[in-house]
Amino acid sequence: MNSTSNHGSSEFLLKVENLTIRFGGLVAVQNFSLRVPARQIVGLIGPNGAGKTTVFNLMTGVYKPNQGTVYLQETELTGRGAHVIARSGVARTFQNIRLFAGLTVLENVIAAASWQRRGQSVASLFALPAVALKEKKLLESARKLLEFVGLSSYENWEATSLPYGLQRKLEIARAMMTNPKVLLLDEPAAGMNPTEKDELAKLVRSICDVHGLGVLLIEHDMKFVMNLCANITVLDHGEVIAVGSPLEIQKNPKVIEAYLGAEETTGEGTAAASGQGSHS
Amino acid sequence: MTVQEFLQYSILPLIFFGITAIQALGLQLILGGAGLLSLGHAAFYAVGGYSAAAFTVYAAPALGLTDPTLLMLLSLVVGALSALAAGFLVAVPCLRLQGDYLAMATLGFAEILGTALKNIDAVGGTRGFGNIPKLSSLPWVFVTLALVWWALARFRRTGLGMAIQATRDDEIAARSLGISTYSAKLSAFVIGSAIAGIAGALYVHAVQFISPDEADFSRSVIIVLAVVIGGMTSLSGSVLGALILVVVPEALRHNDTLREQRMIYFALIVIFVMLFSPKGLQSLFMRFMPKAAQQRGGTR
Ligand SMILES: Nc1ncnc2c1ncn2[C@@H]1O[C@H](COP(=O)(O)OP(=O)(O)OP(=O)(O)O)[C@@H](O)[C@H]1O
Ligand SMILES: [Mg+2]
Repeated sequence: MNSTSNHGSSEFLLKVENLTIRFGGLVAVQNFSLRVPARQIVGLIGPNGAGKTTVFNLMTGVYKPNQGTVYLQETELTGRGAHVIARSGVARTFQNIRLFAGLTVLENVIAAASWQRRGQSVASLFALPAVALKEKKLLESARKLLEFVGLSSYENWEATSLPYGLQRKLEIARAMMTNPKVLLLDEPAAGMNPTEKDELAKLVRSICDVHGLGVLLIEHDMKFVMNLCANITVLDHGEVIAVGSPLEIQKNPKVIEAYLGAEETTGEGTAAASGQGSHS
Repeated sequence: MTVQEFLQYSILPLIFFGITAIQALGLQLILGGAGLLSLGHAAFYAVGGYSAAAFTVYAAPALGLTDPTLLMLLSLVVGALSALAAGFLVAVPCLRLQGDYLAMATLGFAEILGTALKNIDAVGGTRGFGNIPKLSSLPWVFVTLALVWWALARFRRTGLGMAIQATRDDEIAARSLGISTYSAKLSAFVIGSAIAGIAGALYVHAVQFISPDEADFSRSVIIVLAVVIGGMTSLSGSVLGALILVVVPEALRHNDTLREQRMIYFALIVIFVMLFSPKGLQSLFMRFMPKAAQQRGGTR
């Protein structure tokens, strides 16, 4: 990667440089850099506890980094509020699904358009014609997104009563309702069966190709990642140990060691960690 | 007892019911809508009541306003805006901080307000504020109740309404979708407080009197009970809760011991509701209703 290019190079949608965060004594992420171009799927992999989700949290403003910068095209996002970052065009899903339990499937998607409707609440309270058209369009695009992820027939279900795999798809539709430029997916295939995974892969592909987004994907299923991603970054103990194409990554001895090491030394420990971390 | 006598007896309890229902609807937005605990809802109601009364007693004559309908409408605006402003002042510092300071702050605000009102002679001090013109009546109360109910039901579908519910369900997810959770919570709190202020304005012009006791903690507890008993997430539940809380003491009117122990019965009802129908009595009723009616009513 050429590190001499200026911030704001429009080649890359998302550009992250030297992110570092410490939790007390633990350095969870150190000197993390990564770029996400438009219409590309970039992979972020690594053993349990490597710091992948923490990277998402740093990019989306859940945590403030101790060091480093995050740019979306020309806009610096470092240290800004999570809702500001979302409004600039970075959307995400969550490893431990976070749907709105009190809302229906359709309402979950509509809720993601709340900020686009700000300043219109009085007008929509009285159903004034001034906003009627805009609201109709929002409803249409929410329904289109539900159709896109295959949830049209579940519109009026309580969001959290959906099967696991469909909840993950709903999170994707909801994130896309914010009209993002970049979509961050945190283990979207977790808990899905092989057929569902194939469908999801197609979905992620068309988010890229049809909707033109850049996608950053965290995933433990290697087949899934290797098939989808053009470029993969590998994280271990908070540090990048490899960057490259799927083939390069598969052959990289450091990567093999990191994964084997994790299996050998923490055969039990890994299972325990993923048990508490991911399935809430 | 003749029909006429019955009607005469029931006017005041009906007014109390309507007022409590409006208060409960305001708190429902705060508690059930935004998931914030206000233990001083009655204080914002008192702010609205006192301000509206001060407006009609002192300001209106000075401005030369006499038309009763116009005066009542203006006093509703005064009641709403003053309670909204008070809600804003209490909530802003609390919501800026992490953690649940709001419950404590609202409690503290109610105490301070009660003490302050007792020491302001212009509004009657401990004796209470009397000689307020009779501008409102049962129809005023019920029409306002209906309007507030209607508006809140529609409010849920608006952008702000959705943002408030999203914030209640998951703050991190809400923020990741561009929602300012701070504004959402603040809006819910001040709108809920303003509705309490409207109830206050209606009350003072119906009974022509208000005392500092109206800001009391026990009054706030009654409103919390109405919302919890009825069902936190439903508007009709809050109205139902208000009905129960006004009807029960009224039914016990001729039995002093039972009346004095009424808080015990309310507590028992709350325990019953929590055990058997955590979503409130409203959802318990829904269970016994035909499916078609449920679809229309909706529990959210
Ligand atoms: N808020 C926090 N406070 C303290 N430590 C944290 C916090 N968030 C994450 N960590 C620590 O940072 C490290 C990285 O966690 P992270 O969740 O990013 O891993 P991950 O790569 O997403 O793992 P997994 O594959 O299990 O999801 C872990 O050791 C975790 O305990
Ligand atoms: Mg993770």
